[in-house]
Amino acid sequence: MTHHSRRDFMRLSCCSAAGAALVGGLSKFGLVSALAQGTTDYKALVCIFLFGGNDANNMVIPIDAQGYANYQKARANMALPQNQVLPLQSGSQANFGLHPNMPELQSLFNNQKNLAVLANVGTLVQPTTQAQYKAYTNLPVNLYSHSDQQDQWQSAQLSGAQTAGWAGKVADSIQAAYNGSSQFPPILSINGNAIFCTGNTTRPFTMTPYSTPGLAGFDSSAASQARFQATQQLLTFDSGLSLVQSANTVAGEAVQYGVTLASALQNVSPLSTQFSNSYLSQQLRQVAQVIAVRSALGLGRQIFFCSAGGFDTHSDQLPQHVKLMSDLSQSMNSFYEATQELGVANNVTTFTLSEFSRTLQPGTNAGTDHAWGSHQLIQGGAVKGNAVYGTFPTLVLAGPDDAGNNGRWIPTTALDQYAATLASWFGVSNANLPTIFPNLSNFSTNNLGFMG
Amino acid sequence: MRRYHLLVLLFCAAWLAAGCASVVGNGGSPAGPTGPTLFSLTVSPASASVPGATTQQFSTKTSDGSNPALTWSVNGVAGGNATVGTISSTGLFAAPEFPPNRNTITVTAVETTDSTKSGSSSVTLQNPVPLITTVSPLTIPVGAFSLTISGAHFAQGATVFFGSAMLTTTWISSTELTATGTATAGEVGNISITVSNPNPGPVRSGAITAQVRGSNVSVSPATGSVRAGSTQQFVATVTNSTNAGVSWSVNGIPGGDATVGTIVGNGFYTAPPTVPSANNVTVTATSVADNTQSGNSAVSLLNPLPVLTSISPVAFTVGAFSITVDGSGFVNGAVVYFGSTALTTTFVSDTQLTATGTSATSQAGTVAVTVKNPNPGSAVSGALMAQVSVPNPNIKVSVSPSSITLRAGMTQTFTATVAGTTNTAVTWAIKGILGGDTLLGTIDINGNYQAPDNLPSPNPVTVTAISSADPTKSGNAAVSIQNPIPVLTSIAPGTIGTGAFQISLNGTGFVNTSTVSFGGVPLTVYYASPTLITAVGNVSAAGDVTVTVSNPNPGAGTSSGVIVHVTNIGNPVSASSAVRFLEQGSFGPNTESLNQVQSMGFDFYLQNQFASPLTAYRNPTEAYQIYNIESDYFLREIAMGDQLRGRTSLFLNELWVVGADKISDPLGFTNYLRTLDKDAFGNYLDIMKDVTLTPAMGHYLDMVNNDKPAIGQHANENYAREIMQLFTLGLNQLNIDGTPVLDSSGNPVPAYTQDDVMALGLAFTGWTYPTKPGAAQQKHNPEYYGGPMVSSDADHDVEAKTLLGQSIPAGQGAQADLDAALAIIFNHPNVGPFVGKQLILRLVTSNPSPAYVQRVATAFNSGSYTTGTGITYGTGNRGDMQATVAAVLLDAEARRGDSSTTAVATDGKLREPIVMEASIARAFHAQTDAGGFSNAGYRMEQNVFYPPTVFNYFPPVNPIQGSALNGPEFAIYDSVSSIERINFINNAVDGAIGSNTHLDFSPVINAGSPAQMMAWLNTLFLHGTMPDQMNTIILGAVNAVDPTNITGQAKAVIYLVTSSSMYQVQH
Repeated sequence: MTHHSRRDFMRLSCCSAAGAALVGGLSKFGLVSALAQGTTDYKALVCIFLFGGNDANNMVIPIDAQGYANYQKARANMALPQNQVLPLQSGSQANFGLHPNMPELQSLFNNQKNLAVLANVGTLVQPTTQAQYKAYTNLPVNLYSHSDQQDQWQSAQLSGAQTAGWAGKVADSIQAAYNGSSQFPPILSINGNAIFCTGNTTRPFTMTPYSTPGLAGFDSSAASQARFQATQQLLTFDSGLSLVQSANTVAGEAVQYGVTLASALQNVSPLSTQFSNSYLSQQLRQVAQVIAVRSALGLGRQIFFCSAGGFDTHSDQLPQHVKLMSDLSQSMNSFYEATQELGVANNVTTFTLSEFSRTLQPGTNAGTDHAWGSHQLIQGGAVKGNAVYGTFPTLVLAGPDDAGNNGRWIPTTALDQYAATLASWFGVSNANLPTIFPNLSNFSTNNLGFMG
Repeated sequence: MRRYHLLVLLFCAAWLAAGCASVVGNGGSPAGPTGPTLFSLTVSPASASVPGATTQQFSTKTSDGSNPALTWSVNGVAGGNATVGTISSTGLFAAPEFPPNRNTITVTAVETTDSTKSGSSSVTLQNPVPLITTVSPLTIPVGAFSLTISGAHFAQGATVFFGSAMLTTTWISSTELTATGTATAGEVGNISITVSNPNPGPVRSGAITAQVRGSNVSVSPATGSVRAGSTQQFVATVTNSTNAGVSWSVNGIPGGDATVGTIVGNGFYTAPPTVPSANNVTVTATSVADNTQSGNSAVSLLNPLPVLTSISPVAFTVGAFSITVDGSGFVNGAVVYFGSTALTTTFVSDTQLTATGTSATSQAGTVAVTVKNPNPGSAVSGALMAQVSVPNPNIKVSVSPSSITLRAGMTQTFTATVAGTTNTAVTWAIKGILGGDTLLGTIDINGNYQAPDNLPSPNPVTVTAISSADPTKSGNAAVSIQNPIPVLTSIAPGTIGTGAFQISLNGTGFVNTSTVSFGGVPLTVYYASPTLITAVGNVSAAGDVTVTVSNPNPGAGTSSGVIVHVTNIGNPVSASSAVRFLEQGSFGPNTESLNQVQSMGFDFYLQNQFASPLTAYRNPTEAYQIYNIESDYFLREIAMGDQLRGRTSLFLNELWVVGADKISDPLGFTNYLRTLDKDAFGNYLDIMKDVTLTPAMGHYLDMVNNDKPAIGQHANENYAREIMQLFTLGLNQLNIDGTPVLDSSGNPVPAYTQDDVMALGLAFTGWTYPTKPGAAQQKHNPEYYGGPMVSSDADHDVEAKTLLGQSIPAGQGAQADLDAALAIIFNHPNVGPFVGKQLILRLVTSNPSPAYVQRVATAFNSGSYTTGTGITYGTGNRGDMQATVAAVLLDAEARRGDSSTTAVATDGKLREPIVMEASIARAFHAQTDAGGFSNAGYRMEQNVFYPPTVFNYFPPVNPIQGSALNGPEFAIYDSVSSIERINFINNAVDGAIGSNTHLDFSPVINAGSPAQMMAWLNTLFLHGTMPDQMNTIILGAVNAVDPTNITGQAKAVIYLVTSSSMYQVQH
C-alpha cells in the first residue's frame, strides 16, 4: 500500500508550482531523481539461476495425506518431517508446503500473495508421455548433464549448439519499443557471462555485487590522458585477427558502459532494506541499486541475471539444503522489500531457474542425483500469487510421472511455456514468441496465467 | 509558395485563351458573314502546353454540324509514337514522360473519308511535374549533409530545393536523385524538400518535410558529488552534429582552477584539495562546432573520507590522556572519537590530529578510535583499536629463554612468567604485532615461534609476552636469526644450450640472499621460496658444470654440487617460432628461455623438458591454508624449470577438476596436485587410476564412502557420470578427428546412457578415505588425505555390470571392478580425440581443424609420435602423454603462426588469466613471494583452486557472440574481467601486484628510444606481429611522456602492449 501514497506525492509535486519549487530545492543530489523516475512503464525480469540442480522435491512438499505418504515412502531417510513443512495456504486449501527454512517466502505466498509456485516444469520438445520417453521420442538432448541442461534452460534451444539465450532474444525483440534511446545494454548480469543474457544483437553488461568495472591508474596529467586515449584506440583498431577483434569488442564496450553506469550509480542513495551478506543477497542488492537509477540509464525494460551455486547435492544433502533454501528465501524476500522501497514492486518480477531437479530416491551417501522436471518460484507484485500452477507429479518411484525407477519426473509443463508467460508480461508480442521459443507451438497454451 | 501559385495562374490563362481559337479547314480563308459558307474542322484546344506523362483531351467541331469519322495524328504520324506522344481514336493525347528536343508538336484530326478536311492544334510538350515519395534521411544535422530523393518524373537537370536553397543535385534516374548541402543553425526546425524539373515547364514538386536538428550537448553524470582531491570522469555527448568536440569549464572558467577544481580535455575532473566555501560548482561542456550549445553537470564538492592509519599510544591506563592520530583526508573541524566519546581535537594537518580526553574504568578493554569529518559530506573513518586498562604496578612479565640464536625457518617455544597477579595469561607479539607475521616470524598463543624463511630486519627480533591483566606490562626475548644451510637436490632443466640461460634450483634452505655458483661464475639469482630459486646467466662453452648454492653470514654455508650439462648442438629456430612455442609449452617466454629454444630447437628443448626433474610442492606446515598453496602454485608457474610439466599439469587440473571450496585440507589439495605432476608425462590410464583413487577426487565427486546401495537407494552417480562426461569420453560418440558420429538423421549419438552411469556408479562402490597412520581401517575412515583411498569389499556391489556394452563379471572386489571399468573407458575410441582436442585447446588454439585433432588422437592411440625429421616421442603404449604433448606442440597447425606467411587469422586463444599473470612475471624476472597473484586471478574470474564447479572455470565449447568461432576462455571474459585484465597490467607496471613483488623493467628501460623499447616488447610479447597502426598509437602516447622520464616511457609502452588484446590473445 505504501507505493500508492508515494505515487500521490509524485503527482502532486510534479504538477504544481509548489511541487516544482520543491523539486528545484531538492534537485542537487539524487533525491529528486529517485522520486522523479516514473514507474508507469518500467518492467524488470530478475532471474535467479540455482546452479547444480535444485532438489525441488524438498522445496515444495505435498502435505495432504496421500501426497505426503507417497513422498515419505520414497524419500525415506531424507524426507522432511510433515509437521515442519511450512503450509502454503490458498483460500481454505493447503495441499503443499515449503521447506522449513523458507518462512519469508511462505509469508509472501500466504499473506502478500506475491509468490507463485510452478510445478514440474522442465525442458520439453513436446508434451511427453512415459512411453514416448522410453522410446526416446523427441527428447531434449543430454538430459541429466549439468552443462547441457543449464544451456537449454537459458536458451530454450533443446538441441544443437546454443548461440543465444531466451532473455537475450526477448531483449532483442523489445529493445526498439522500450529502450530505443538508451545508451546502456538492457541486460545486466551480476554473475558473469551466461548464455541467458546473450541475444542475437544484445550483449550484456556485467558487474560484481560490489563494484562497477572501470579502468584504474589514470590521472589528469597529459601523459596519463594520452595513455588513456591510446588504450581506447587499441580497443577499436582492426588488427585483422578474429579473436583479437572479439576481445576488443568486449573490452571496448566494458570501458564505455562502465563509465555510464558508474556515473549513474555515483549518487544513488543506499537502500535502507537490509540484505544478508550471502552472495545471492548481495547480487540482488546490486540489482535493486541499478533499478534505482533506471531513468539515468534511460531504460524502460531491464533483465537481470543472478545466481546461487551449491545445489548439486550428491551427498550429505539435508544440512546443505537447509542453508541453500534459507538463503534463497531470505534473499528473495529482501529483494522484494527493496522493490517496495523503490516503489517498483509491481514492475519487477523475480523468478528461479535450475537445470533440473534431483532424484526423489536417495543415493548412497545421503544425497540425490540428477533428475528432470522441477518446481520453480515466481515473485513480484505483478504475479498472480498465492497459487500453485502446473500439475504436481505423483511422488511414486516408477509411478506415472517417473522417467525410470528413481523419481526423475517427466515434466508436465514446458520451460517454453514458463518463459513465454514471463516474456509476454514483459512486452514481447505473441507473434514474436515462436522465434524465441521454438518449441512453444507444440504446447496447448502460450500463457500459464501466473502473471497479472 | 508564391511562385508556384503564379505558375498555376499563368497556365490556366493560356489554356483559356487556347479554348477560343479555331482552325480553318484546308487552307480556307477566314469565314466572313457575307461570303460563301466554307466547311471547317476545328480542333479544340487550338494550342496547349502539356506536362510530361499527362493527357490532354482534344475535341473537334465541324462547321456543318456533321460528325464524321476522324483519324488523329501527331506530327503527321497516325496515332503518334512514344517520342512525341500518342493519341487515341477519340482524341485523347498522352504526352511522353519527357519532351523531345523539338518540343512543339502538332496534333491533327483528319476526316477518315475526306483527307482534305482537317484541323489541328499546336502543342507544347513540357517536363513532367516531379513527384517525391521519400527523402532519406529525414533528420538532418547542422553541417554538411547529403540526401537521397526517391520519387518519379525526375528530369535530367532536376534540382533539389532545401527550403529556398538549391542543392547540388546529381541525377541518378528518373526515380532517384542525390543532393548535398550544408544546413545552418538558422535552419533548425522543419524544412521543405522539393524538386524542380528544368525547362521546359519548370514545375516544382510537392514538398516533403524534413527536420534540421540543432546540436545538443549533454554531460553525464548530470549531477554528482566529488570528494575533495578525488576525480570524476565526465562524458559529453554531442548529438546532431558531425563535430563531437567540446571544451570544458568549471563555473565558467575554462579548464577550471585550483579553487573550483580542474578539468582537462576529455572531461577528467579533479576536485580541489579543499572544499571551497561555495561547495556547489557547475561543470560545463560547450560544443566546439556551435558555442551556443552547452551542457552542464551540477557537482557538489564534499569533504574527503577520513582514513586512519595509526594511533599513538595504543595502550592507555584509565584517566586523562592525549592521543595523536595519523592518517589522511582530515579537514579542519574533524573530531576524534574514543568509543562514542568526542574528544577535544586539534587540527594539525590533513594527515594528523591530536586530541585529549579522559577514559573511564568502564572503558577498560578495547575501545574503537575513529575520526569524523564535518559536512559537507561528513563521514567517519574506519576504526583502530586502543587498549584501556586499570594500572597494576605490581605486575612483572619475563620470557624464557631470553636470548637465543635460531636458523631461518626453524621453531622455538618460549615460556612467559607473570608475577604480581593471579591472571598469568599473556598474548604474544613480535615487534609489537600480535602473532607476528611472515617477515618477522609467527608465534602462536602457546609461545611457539616459527622463524621467518628469510633474515628479518631488524635482526635480532624481539618476542614479547603481554600481560592480559595489564597490557602496559610485558616481557621480551631477543631472537637472533641465522641463515639455514642450503641443500641443492636437483636442477631443471638438467641440460642447457649455450648462450643466455635460466635454471631452476630445487632443494631446501634457500634464502633471498642465496648466491649461485656456476662452475665458479656467479649467476643472477631470483628467490622464489626456501625450496626453489632460479638463476640466470650466460655460458659459451659446452661441457659439464658444477652448480652450488651458498648462503651468506650470519650462519653461512654452501650446498654440495649438482652437474648441469651444457651443449651446443641443436637445430636453431627463429625468435618468432621460439616465442610462440614457449607461449604454448611454458608459462611464457623470457629472454633466456627464448635463447634456449632458439639455439636448441624444438626437439632437443622438448626432450630436455620431458627429462627435467620435477619441482616439488612444499609440504604444508600446520599453519598452511589453501591460500599458501595458491602462492606456492604461482611461484612454481613463475620459477619452475620443468615448465612443460607445469603446463601439462595445469591442463590435467582443468580437466580433472577439484575445488578447494570442498577440498579445503591443504595436504589433500597438495597431494592432488602432486598426483597430476607425477603423471603428467606418463600414461593416461595411470592418470585415470591415480586420480580416481585420490581422496580429494573421492571427496569432491562423492565416490568416497559410496557403499553398495541399501534397499530404497541407488549408488551415487556423481563420479560415474562426470568421469565419462568430463574426463574421458564427452557426451557424444566421436570420430577420431573429434567430430561427432552422426546417426541416420544427422543427430549426434550419445556416448553412454543413464544405465551406463548407474552401472559405473555400482562399479565404484566400496572405497573410503586412506587409513591414518596408527589407526585401524573402518567401514568409513575419517576424512584424511595422506595417500590413495582404500577399498572395503564388504561395501562393494558384486553383481555383474554392463558398461558401454561390455561386461564386468559378478563377484569381483572393489579394486578389480574399478580396474575393469577404467580399462573399458580407457579403451573407448572417444578418449584419444577427446583428450587430444582438450590439450590443443589449453595449449595452442581454440579452433583446431579436425585433421589436427586426428593427428593428435592418433599419437594418443598409438602412444607414439614421429616428427618429419624422424624423431620419435612416446613409449608406443596407448595413452602416452609425451607422444600426445609432442604431437600437439610440433604439429604444423600449431607452428603455422610462427611465420606471417603461413599464419591464419582465426588461430590462437585468449590467454587464461593465471597463465597470463605468470607470463608477465616471467618475462620481467619477477622477484616475488607470489602474494597478490591469486587475488588478481580472482578478479579476472579465474579464482585459482576455486573453479565454480567440476566444469572448470570455462567450458571446452563456448561460441563467441558475433563470431562463428569457439573461445573457451571467452566464457570468463566479460565487462568485469576484461577491465580487470587491463587493471592487472596497470598494477604490474605500477609495482602494485603485491608488496613483495618486484618486476625488472630494465631491459625495456635500457632498450633505447621508444621505438626500440617497442621492438623489444614486440619480439617477446607479440612474436614480431605488432601492426603499424598499433605502433603509431603507442608511440603517440609515449611521446606525451616527459622525454627525460625514461622509466615512465618504458612503463607506458609495457602497459599499452601487454594490456592490448593483441597480447591478451595468444596468436
